[in-house]
Amino acid sequence: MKAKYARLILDWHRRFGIEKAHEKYSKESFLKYKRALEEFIQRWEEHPDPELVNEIAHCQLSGTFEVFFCEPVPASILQLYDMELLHLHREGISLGQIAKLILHSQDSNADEGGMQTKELFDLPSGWDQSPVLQKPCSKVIRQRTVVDAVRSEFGGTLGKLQAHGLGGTSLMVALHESAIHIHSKSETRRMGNELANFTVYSPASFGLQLASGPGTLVGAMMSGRVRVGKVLVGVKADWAIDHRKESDHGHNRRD
Amino acid sequence: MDITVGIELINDQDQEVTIELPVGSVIEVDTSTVQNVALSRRYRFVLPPRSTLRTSVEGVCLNRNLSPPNSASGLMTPFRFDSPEIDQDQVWDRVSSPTA
Repeated sequence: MKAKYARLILDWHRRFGIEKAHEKYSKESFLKYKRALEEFIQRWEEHPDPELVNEIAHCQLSGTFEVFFCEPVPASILQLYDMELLHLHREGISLGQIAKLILHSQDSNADEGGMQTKELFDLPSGWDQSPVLQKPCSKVIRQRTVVDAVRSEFGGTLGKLQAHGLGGTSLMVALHESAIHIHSKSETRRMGNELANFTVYSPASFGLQLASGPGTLVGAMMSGRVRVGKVLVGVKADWAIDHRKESDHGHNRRD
Repeated sequence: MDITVGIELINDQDQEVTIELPVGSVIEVDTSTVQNVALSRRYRFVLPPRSTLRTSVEGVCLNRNLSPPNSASGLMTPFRFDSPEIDQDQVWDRVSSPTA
């Protein structure tokens, strides 16, 4: 369904948008709009994948197409598509609202090759004592930098763990930046104010699963049974020996 | 090259606590300019009541393109690299090619 919505948006711009844009835009802005539309149409003809569907929706919501956010979709276009789209016209739906339907609809896996609009990472109740299998998945997020995109996706869920002394957000940022660096993708660390699309991956996409469960440090931290004080990464091998001299409590065993 | 992590474990309770760090447990650094770490083996610690244990654990680097950390401040994360054995090349190959 989402692919049909995206195609409907493109169709509206091709039939009506070009003419209206002449009136609304300066010459320079019009050319930018026209280029964006032509590029979308060409890509759609070559490979209408879920990522492209998302990009079209983002462009309609906050990109070059945004000026037509409130434009209603006329019945003449709806009739070209399946009858199931006609209910949109009855509701007087606009292009912007259709774009929102694309990004927020729940049928993400139905016909879109696995595109997901829900959060990539979630921690259901009880995850700390019974780890939940994480699945690889990705989504396109429109932000100014890849750091902003990753933080917007993970900062909420992982940010809540800070109260228990656990991190994770910086790790996800570093993993995304490393993957981009290694593959020299165009999605580099962008500067400036222009929004761009970034593919953000779930922890499982990098081979990560939850380290929680009965008896684990993560489980003990979440339940408050154990706290972690200082953590220093990249110390000498005798760090613990030196510090044991200062405090002779505790003992440990390595398996 | 293995990276050593110094870690302070605190048991504020009146009972002994035994905890485990599964193989692959990930420790992040505060800054994105140096390497994060996945533990290369499983660790088990017994913390007596009301005690602080300062110990060290060892792991491999998660970010091939970053510099080695040098006493960088870090945090435990809820994650582990999902593999029964941790091999540096295998870790780098896996994290550099995320799957969707």
